[in-house]
Amino acid sequence: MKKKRLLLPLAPLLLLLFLCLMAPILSPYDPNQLDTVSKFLPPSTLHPLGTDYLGRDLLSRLLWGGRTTLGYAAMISIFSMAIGTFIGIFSGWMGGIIAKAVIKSSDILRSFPNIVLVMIFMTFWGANMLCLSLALILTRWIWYARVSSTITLLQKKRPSILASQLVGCKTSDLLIHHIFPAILPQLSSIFFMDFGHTLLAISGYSFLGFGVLPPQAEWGAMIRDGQNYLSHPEMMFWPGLCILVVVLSTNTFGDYIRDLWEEMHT
Amino acid sequence: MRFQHCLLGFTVLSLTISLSACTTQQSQTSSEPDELVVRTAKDIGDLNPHTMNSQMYAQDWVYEGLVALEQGEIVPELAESWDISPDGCTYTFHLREGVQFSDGSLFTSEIAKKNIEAVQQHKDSYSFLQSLDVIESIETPDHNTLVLQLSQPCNSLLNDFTYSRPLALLGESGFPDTGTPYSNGIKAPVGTGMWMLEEYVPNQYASFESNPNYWGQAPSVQELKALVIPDVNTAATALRAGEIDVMVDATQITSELFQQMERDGFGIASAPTTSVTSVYLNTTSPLLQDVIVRKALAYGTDNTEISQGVFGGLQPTASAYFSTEIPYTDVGLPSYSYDSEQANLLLEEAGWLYESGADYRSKNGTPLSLDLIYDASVTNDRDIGLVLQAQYAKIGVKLNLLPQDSQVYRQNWTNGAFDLLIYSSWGGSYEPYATLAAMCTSGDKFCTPQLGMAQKKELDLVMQDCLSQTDPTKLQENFQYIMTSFHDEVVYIPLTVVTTLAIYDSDFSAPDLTSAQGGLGISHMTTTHS
Repeated sequence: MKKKRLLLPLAPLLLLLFLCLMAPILSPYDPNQLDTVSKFLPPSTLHPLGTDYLGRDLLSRLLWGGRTTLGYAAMISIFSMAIGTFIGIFSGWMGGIIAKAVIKSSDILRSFPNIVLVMIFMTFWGANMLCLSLALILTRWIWYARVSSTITLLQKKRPSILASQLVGCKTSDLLIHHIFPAILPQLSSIFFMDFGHTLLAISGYSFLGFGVLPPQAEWGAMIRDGQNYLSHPEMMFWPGLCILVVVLSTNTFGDYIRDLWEEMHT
Repeated sequence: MRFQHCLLGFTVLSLTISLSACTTQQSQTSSEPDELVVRTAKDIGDLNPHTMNSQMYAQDWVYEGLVALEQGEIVPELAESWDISPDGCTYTFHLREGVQFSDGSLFTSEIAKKNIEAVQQHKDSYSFLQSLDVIESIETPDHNTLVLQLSQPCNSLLNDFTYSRPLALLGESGFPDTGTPYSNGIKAPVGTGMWMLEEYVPNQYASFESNPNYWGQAPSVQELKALVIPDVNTAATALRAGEIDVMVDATQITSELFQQMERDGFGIASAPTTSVTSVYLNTTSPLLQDVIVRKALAYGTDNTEISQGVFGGLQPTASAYFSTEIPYTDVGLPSYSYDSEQANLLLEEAGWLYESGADYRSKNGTPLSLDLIYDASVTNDRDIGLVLQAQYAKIGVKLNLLPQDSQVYRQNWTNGAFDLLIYSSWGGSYEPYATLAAMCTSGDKFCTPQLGMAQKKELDLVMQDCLSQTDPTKLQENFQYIMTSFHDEVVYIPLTVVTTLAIYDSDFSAPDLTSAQGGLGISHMTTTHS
C-alpha cells in the first residue's frame, strides 16, 4: 500500500523526466528550427502537438524545454541543499555564537524578497540563467541550513554521540555516520518540495524575461511566448500542464516522505 | 487522502477564480456615450511640452505647434501662413487670430516667442533640432506676426515646428515662476489643443475634457480617457469587456491578434508610416569592420520572410533606411535582395570558413559570432531577432540575441557596445533632417554605428550641408552621396515599413490614422451607441 502511495506521485514525474532526458532521440525536430510558413499548425502526425507562432515544433520545444527547466531546478536545489546542509551541520555542531549567527543571517536573507535579489544580480551581470541560478541558490540554502543546524544541535546532545566523543571517535566520522543520516529524511522532504518551488521560480522568472535567452526552449519562456497568442492556448497549455504535474508530484512526494519519517519516529 | 485534499483545494481555487472573473465581467461598464476610452501602453507623463518625458500623442492632444505634418505635407496649425525670404534666413509666421489657450488666455506672437526662447536655452539637449542653433533673433512686430531671423538657412526649421515636442506651445499660466519648463517643470498643462487635462492618476489613467476654446473642429466626444494597460493582450481583453473603446499601436499588436479581433467583430484600421525598422550594424565592431562581412549579412537577410512570417504581411518590406515617402532620399539604389549563396561566397572571400564539423564559420580561431541587442519591451523585435538568427545560421553566422531594458539598450547603443541592433526610425517630420542632425552629432547614438565608415568625416560634412542647403539640385546630390554611402558601406539593413494598427469597438467610426491632429487620430471617432 505504501509503495503504491509512493508511486502515485512519482510516476508522472518519472515519466516526464524520462521523456525529457530522451529528448535528443524522441523530439522530431530541432526545437529552434523556424518555419514561418507553418505557423500555428494543429496537431498532426508530423507535429504531434502542433507548431508555435514561428512554426517551431511544440513537442520538440516541450521536451527540450523540460531538460532546461528540470535541469536547472535540479541543479539549483542540489547546490542549495549541499551548501545549506554543510553550513547547517557546521554551525549546529559548533553551537553557541556561530549557530546563532547562522540562524540570524538566514533570517535576514529570508526577509529579503527573492525578486529584489534577482533584480540586483541581473542589473550587474545581465539577465541570464547563471545570474538567476546564483540568486536562487543564495536564498534557498537557508531552509536546509536551519533544519540541519537544529537537528545537529539536538543530535549532538544525545548520549550515544556524547559517548562516541568520549571514546575518541573522530568528529568527521560522527558527522558523516551519525548526524547526517539523522538529517537526511528531513532534507529529502525539503528537497522535493523545494524542487517544485525552484521550478516554479525558474519558470516564473523566465516568463518575466529574466531567465533563458531566446531561442532556448524553457517551459516558463514558452508560456510567455504563448501569452501573445491567446487564440492559440495550446502554446501555454502544454508547458503549463508539465509545470503543474512536476510541482504537484514533487510536493506530494515530499509530503509523503515527511509523513513516513514522522511515522518512523512515532 | 492528501491527494484528495490537493484536488479539493484545486477545485475551490478554480471556482474562486471563475467566480471572481464573472464578478469582474459584471462590474465592467462600457464607456459613457460621450466618452472615448483609449488604451495607453505607458503612463502619459507630466505633459510638459518642452521635455521628452511624456507620450507624444498625449502632448498632441493638449498642445499644438506653429505648423503640422499632414500626409507628408507641412500644413498650417497655429500659424495660418508663413513667408520665407529669398536667402532662406528670415521666416515670417502669420499667426491664427483669436486662438485661445484652454485657460482662456489669448495666443499671441509674444507667448510663441517666450516658448521658443525657453527651448533655445536648452538646445544642447536637442541635438536633432538644427533650427535651435541658427535662430539668431525672434521679433514680434504685432500680436499675430512672428519673425525668426536665422544666421544661415535651415531646411529643417518648418519640420522642427511640427514635432510634438519641444517646440509645442505652452500658455503663459503654465510657465513656472522661475526658470524654464525644461528645468523647473510646468505649473499646468495649458495648451491650444483639442483636449485639456481634467484628472491624472499616474500609471493608472488620465481624463481629458474637450477644450471649449479650441479653434478647430471640436472632437466628436466630450471626454477622452487614457487608460494605462501595458500588456497588449490585457488591452485586447479590456476591449472585449468594454473597458476601452480603442487601442492604437505600431509595435505590440501582433498580426494574429489583429486578425483575430477582426474575426471577432471589432473594427480594425491600419496605415503605413514613414518609420522603417532596420538592423543597425556597428562599423567599429571588430567582426564587422570588414565591409564584405556586412554585405554578406545584407545578402543573408530575407526581409520578405520577416514581413510575412513576423508581421503577417501587415508591414511591407523596406528597401532603404528612409521610407520612399521621405523627400530626396529615394535615389534609386538597388537593394541587397536575399541571396544566401552570394552571402556564403562573400564570407569565404573574407576568410571566414567552416572548420571541420563546425556549425558556424571562424577565422584564425575566432568564431563569427555576433551580438544583436534589442529593446526587450518590443515584442516584435524579439521575433525579428529569432528569424534573423535562423537566417544567419544558414550562412554560418552565429547570432546571439540579447534582450535589454530600454535604458540599457540605449546606453549600449550610444557606447557602441553591440554588433547589431534593431530599431525603428523616427519617421514623420523628423526625417530626414532631424535624423541627419543626430547622425552628424558626435556622441549621439545615431552617430555611433557610422563611426567605422571610411568616409565618416566627409559624410558628416555632407549631412551638415543638407541641413542648410537651399539649392534643390545640390541637396539632391548630397542625399545621393549619403544614401549611396549607407548602401555601399552597409551600415543599415532595412527590414520593414512600420504600420500603425488600430483595433476599436465597432460602435465607433474608424480612427483616422493619417491625421496629424489630435494624436493617434482618434479625436474624431464618433459613436452610435446610446
